[in-house]
Amino acid sequence: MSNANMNINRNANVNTNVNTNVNTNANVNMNTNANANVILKIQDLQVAVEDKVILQDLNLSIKAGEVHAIMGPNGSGKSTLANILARKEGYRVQKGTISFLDQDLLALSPEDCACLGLFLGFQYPVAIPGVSNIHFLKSSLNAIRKARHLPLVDALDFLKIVKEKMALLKMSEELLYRPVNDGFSGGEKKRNEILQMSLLEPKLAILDETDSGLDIDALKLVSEGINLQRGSDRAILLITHYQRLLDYIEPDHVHVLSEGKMILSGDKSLAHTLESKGYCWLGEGEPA
Amino acid sequence: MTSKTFITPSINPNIKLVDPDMKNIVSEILKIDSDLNNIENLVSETCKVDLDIKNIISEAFKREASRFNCVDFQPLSTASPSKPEGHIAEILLQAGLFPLLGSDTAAESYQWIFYNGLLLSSPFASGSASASASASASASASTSASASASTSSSTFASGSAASASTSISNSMFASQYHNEHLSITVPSLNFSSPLIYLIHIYHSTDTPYSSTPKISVLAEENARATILECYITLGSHPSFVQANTQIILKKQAKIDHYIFSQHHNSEPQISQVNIQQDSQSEYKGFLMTLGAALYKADILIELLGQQASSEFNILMTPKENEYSKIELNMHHGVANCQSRMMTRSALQDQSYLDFTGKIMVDKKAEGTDAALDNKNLLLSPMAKVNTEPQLEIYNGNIQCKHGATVGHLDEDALFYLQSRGIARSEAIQMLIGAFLQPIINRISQQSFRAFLVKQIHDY
Repeated sequence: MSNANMNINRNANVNTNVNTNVNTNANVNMNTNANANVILKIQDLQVAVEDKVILQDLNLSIKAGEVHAIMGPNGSGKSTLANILARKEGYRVQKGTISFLDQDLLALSPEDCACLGLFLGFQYPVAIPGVSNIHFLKSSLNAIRKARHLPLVDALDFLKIVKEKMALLKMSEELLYRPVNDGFSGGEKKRNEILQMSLLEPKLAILDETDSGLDIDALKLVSEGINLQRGSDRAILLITHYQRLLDYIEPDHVHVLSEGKMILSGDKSLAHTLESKGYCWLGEGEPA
Repeated sequence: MTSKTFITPSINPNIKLVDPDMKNIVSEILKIDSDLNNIENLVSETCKVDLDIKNIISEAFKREASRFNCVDFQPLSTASPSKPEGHIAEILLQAGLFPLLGSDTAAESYQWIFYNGLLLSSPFASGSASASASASASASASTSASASASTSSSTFASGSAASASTSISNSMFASQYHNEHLSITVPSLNFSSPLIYLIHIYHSTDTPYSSTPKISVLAEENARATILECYITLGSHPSFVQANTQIILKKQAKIDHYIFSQHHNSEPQISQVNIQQDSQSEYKGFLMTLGAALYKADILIELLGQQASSEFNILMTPKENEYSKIELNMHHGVANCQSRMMTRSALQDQSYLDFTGKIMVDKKAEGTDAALDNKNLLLSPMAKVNTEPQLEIYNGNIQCKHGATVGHLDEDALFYLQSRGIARSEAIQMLIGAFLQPIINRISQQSFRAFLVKQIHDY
């Protein structure tokens, strides 16, 4: 993959559009039919919670086949962006547009988004006591299949599919019969997220801090699970603190989010630079 | 020929059949008139609640009065109940009970079916009227068929429920029915656990009835039984039901008891349950009501013999303007008894639930182990719960715990489900189901469980 002509643009306030332009140019090289392959396009997004602006002047374009990574220090707005994309309530979009597969994402409900092919891997997967994992997974898969006009799977077929996928992630089958994420270890929760991703086969998977709380072995497994999901018609958006995950899942583009702004975009070498110099390195170029 | 001797259960005279408060309420409700001030006074007197709650109750009464258009409920003894139309199976089908009875393939079952307070079918009556196929019933069929036929014809001719009196007995069961009062004796049979269905269907098309069915069950030593009490109201006119059930468990008797009522006209209902347990007896109670605009339940369980164990579960899913008041009392009168009480309620719309759960431990009740678990889920900003878990303990050497919670649906969990493509309405259903699961798991009878879950789901 060639991202050689990617520029590092450190003055995001003025030249945000240049950023995306650069990205677009880079992608043209990879995808001959650029416009038709745009999965997600965020333009000039500004988001507030109550009266506090969390994200501003945010632009991002993700094309089919790409893996993007968003890095940034704590509190930079990474999870807010993930939640906005999954249509979580409680955020106010003050300006800007988001289009997902040519639809106005901001007009969709969370379930519509999911049915269209958007998947959010949660940083903190929610425990739901009383709902068995297998019931949840099957309801979810069938809801998505119904939206895609595919025949629903029955319990037996489902069991077969899910057990295959669980074996790949080295998940204990006993987790199927426990309540959703209830009493799961940190690693089990994250694997359960990737299991859902591999069942639902989303067009765009947003993985929010999927690496946090994982030991090295689990990280490898989860990364392999994610890499299996890469495809020419699909895209992945990784949100992470550390470069570690990016050793296993090689991104095409790396973006740096700081104080709600996308201050840097580049190729995977940016992640290494960040890792060695730390986020404080960014402060130098940041106009106060 | 089976002998026709009556075996009347020896009911402890100390049991309060109807508490005086209840009598007042009944007689007052029977005369609901347009004078709402009267109703408000009645409410404040009988319920002794604070002003806020009083307002809500009086609102509920006002709605009742206006909706029922000042109904004058006629006691069944003076009203002329209409004949049932169609075959008994059709009636059961209409009442939504057919799947329950039809699906039951348990070894032994006895059904008593009441229609507008009339005994329509009993396990010892003629085979055509009874859906029950009990081997022991056929022995007495020839005798009781004629008795039952003559009774029912006279009943319909005179049109008075008061004259309906049938009493049958056979070698296993004894039952007596008179004036809406059914007594059943479950004999000492440690080899079987029969299912006893007590089904009351009210279908009023002309007069609003009020009915006060009473059921007394005596479970003799070592007796086993599962009892399902069902109250279903149908028809275009409301029926007002005040049900009174008392069960006496002798030594080592074991009774599973389910009370289910469903009202299709939002009728008011009052339930009284009184349980007395002798030593080493086991009682498991389950109460569920759907669709009563006004519902009051008084449950008193008295543990009077050592090592008795008792469990009572209540499931409420009120909606719209329904108002429910539940008083659940567990009285530990002797040492070393165990009791568990669990309630789960999910409230929709502007419904209101007033719950009082009390564990009373007498001075001599050493080694008591009691617990009360009360959880409430508010599904609407207008729904309201007032819950009061109470402990009254006179002995230090016991174990007693109680807990009550009131909460809303977990928005994070809802979002999580939605983000996986599950529609919000379905996600809400899943979460309500999860909330109710612990109490549904306590329904040990599979066919009842399936039936009740379906009723909740359809409601």
